[in-house]
Amino acid sequence: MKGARVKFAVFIVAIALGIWSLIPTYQLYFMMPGQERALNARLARATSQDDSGRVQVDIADFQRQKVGVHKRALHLGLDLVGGMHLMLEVDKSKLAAEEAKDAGDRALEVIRNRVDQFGVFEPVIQKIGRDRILIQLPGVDRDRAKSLIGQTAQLKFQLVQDERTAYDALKTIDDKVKAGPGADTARAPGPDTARKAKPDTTRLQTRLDTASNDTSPVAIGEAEAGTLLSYVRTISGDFGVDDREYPEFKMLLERARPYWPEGYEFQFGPSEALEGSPVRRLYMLKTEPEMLGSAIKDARPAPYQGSEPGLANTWIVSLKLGRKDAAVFAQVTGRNIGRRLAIVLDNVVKSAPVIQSRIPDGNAMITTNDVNPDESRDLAIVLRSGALPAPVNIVEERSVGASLGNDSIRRGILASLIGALVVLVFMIVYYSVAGVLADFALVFNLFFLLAVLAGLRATMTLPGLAAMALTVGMAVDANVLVFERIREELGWGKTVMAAVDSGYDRAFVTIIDANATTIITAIALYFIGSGPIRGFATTLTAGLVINVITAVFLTRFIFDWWLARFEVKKLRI
Amino acid sequence: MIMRLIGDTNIPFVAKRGLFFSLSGLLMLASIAVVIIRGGFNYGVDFTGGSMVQVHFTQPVSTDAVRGALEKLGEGGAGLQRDDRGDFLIRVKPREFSGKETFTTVMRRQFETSFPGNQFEILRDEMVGPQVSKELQGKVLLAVLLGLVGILIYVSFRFDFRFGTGAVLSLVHDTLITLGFVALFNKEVTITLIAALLTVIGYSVNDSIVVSDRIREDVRKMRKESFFDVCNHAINKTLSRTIITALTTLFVTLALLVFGAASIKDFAFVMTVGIVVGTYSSVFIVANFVAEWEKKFPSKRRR
Repeated sequence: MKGARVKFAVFIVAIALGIWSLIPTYQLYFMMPGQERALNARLARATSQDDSGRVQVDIADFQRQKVGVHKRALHLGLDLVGGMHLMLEVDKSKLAAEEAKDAGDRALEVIRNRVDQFGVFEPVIQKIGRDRILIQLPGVDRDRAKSLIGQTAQLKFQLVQDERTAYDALKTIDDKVKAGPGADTARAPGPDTARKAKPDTTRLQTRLDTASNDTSPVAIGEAEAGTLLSYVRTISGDFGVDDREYPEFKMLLERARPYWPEGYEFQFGPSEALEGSPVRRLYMLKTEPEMLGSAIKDARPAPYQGSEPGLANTWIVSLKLGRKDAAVFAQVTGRNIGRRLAIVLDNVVKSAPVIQSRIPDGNAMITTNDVNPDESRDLAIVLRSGALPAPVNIVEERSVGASLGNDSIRRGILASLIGALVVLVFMIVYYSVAGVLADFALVFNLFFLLAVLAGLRATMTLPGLAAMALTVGMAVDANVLVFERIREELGWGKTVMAAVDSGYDRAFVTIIDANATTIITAIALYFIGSGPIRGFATTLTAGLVINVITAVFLTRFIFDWWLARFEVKKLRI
Repeated sequence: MIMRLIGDTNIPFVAKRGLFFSLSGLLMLASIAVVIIRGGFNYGVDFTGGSMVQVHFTQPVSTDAVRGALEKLGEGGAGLQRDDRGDFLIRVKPREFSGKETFTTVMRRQFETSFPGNQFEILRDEMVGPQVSKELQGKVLLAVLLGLVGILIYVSFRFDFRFGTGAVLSLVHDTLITLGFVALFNKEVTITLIAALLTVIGYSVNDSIVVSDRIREDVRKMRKESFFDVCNHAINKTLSRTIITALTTLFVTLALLVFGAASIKDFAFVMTVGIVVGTYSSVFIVANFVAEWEKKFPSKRRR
């Protein structure tokens, strides 16, 4: 058999690629749920604070790993896992033409900022067309999510306290927490706190790594375990916390709210990557805002055109304020030169530029030190989003409870398995050995289909599952065509080899034509475009293409091999 | 063990084509009649706009009681259905509510007062605005047209215009009759159902092509026989394959129909009906149509 080795090698490589493509999917759905349960059980068993701290770090690591795996795995649609699909439309009816221009971008920024705080696993936030925004939040309480999205954006400018003050404030809070409620000053450490005073080496380690090159005036990393300060590290001149510990830290900080210094508050920046690990900056802000977002008349990204050589080729945000607000701004900037003014959108500090000089005329500039315009563009959108309203209406909502999704998966898989099983048995009963061959091809068909879908990062939906079952039914068609043809050719008295040969040759054109038309309708379906149907169209198309390949090449290869190997003279088909 | 459902047949399909044309015509007329008598289709929220909510009560509640609660909301005309899990599917037309209220929030409050002590859970909540539903209608029409035109072009290109027209006509036939069943069983027309319909179209044309392909092949080989005989021979020769493929696909759609979740059942229903009708049309209609065309307008050159 000429070329049999090459064909075999191609087949083996295809299988290897398929397995490689499916590994993340296997990990995500078959290994990780168990690992997650084990971690949670460990957390429940943790006896001391040190213990639970270590488990928390492990859980955070696990979550990060999960995000990585999830990116490469076959996704389950909202109709299967439960969650919320929202289509929002920017309401431009009350906006002036100039305001309406980038209303979609502003709304997107505001929503992204909020969903980010919401802590949803792998949300989808997408702009569709000019004024629509698609949001998909897997496994989310719908009422909470909707109220969060429906609110109008709030942009505030607040003065930032310097690091020394913030450090002292955190220390005082720690001391007051330790002293317990009712006590105004720190008491001598009792036996309970003495136990906690044992330094937590795991935390220290992670912190020292990145803290080595900082110029912080305060000693960090020597704080007692369990205190606020034990979480804090320095991030290029700012305070911050490891993003993995952020939920824990935020909870502790919120709990200690009664001890916060009067007139000040703590807010975080968005999650950002620092030397590979995600962090969030922490700011101590004056609660009373210096100015509100409505003060801004316009904000645009622009290339730096000043004379400072260090800023050449970088991008800035050029700010324009209204006349009345310009006077306020002049006062604020004049009084606070050298201090930082935080730009806070919906309680997230988006940026905290240093005030360089008094700005008298309401024309300000925020430098970014970046040759890439992205940051300045994003910041400009943030600034405009606070100033100009971009009201949104929910025009489409589909939410499915997780329990219904689970039931759908269970029954969908059961039905698909039963259907596939009946087909497999029927093929063997009807075509004997050749039927086994077709079944073999069918199983590989499904394997390759899953692998390709995982490779395409496709989303498996309920109709997609049906399409998969359907491909099973239709996959045998190609084989049926070939087998029927072989039967016919054998009936004309041809030898087995010749019958198989011409059976495949004759059926080939028909198989191509037949599948091509089904693919045409699948593509048409793709254009209808809503999530579950797209899943169906993708699955069907991929299934049919793989179908043709396995039916025409794979079974043929095995057929030829089998005929040659066993010197089959009489074919029972 | 070797099985053979269909051996060598020589059924005079082409000679009896008048009978099949009349039967199909009758079925199509009946389908249109059913749609008219039913007063159109039972469109889902995808196309009408409005809300669809699936509610699960922990303690069983009667349909009348739920209807009563809905009447208090001024939604007495709401579509109300109970599925095999005992859940209620409630469908209402689009309506404006004040402030942040939606139908679901209002309904939840009403149910809390109407069924005190009975816990309920909202399993599914779909809301489609009027604008979006209008767009969906347009998109669906476009998709169906695109699919049909795509098939017409492909089949005309690969075969000839006669076969292309035959294939598309049989698709119209299949679609009409399947829609007749949808109306007869009062199935809700959703995007998913349209997807099933388009799949049926793809499947049916697949079948038609197998028959057409065989005609094309036999025309070259059987030079002595008349075109009618060639067509008849081709239908008979592909009959076994047509039926086996229909069977295997039906195994799957029937499994989905019996064991599948509620949301996939309507899909499986349309597929099942469509495959039966599609198989019928590719055996009895497509080749017969081409034969009839040949009789009316004989082609000069045999292809």
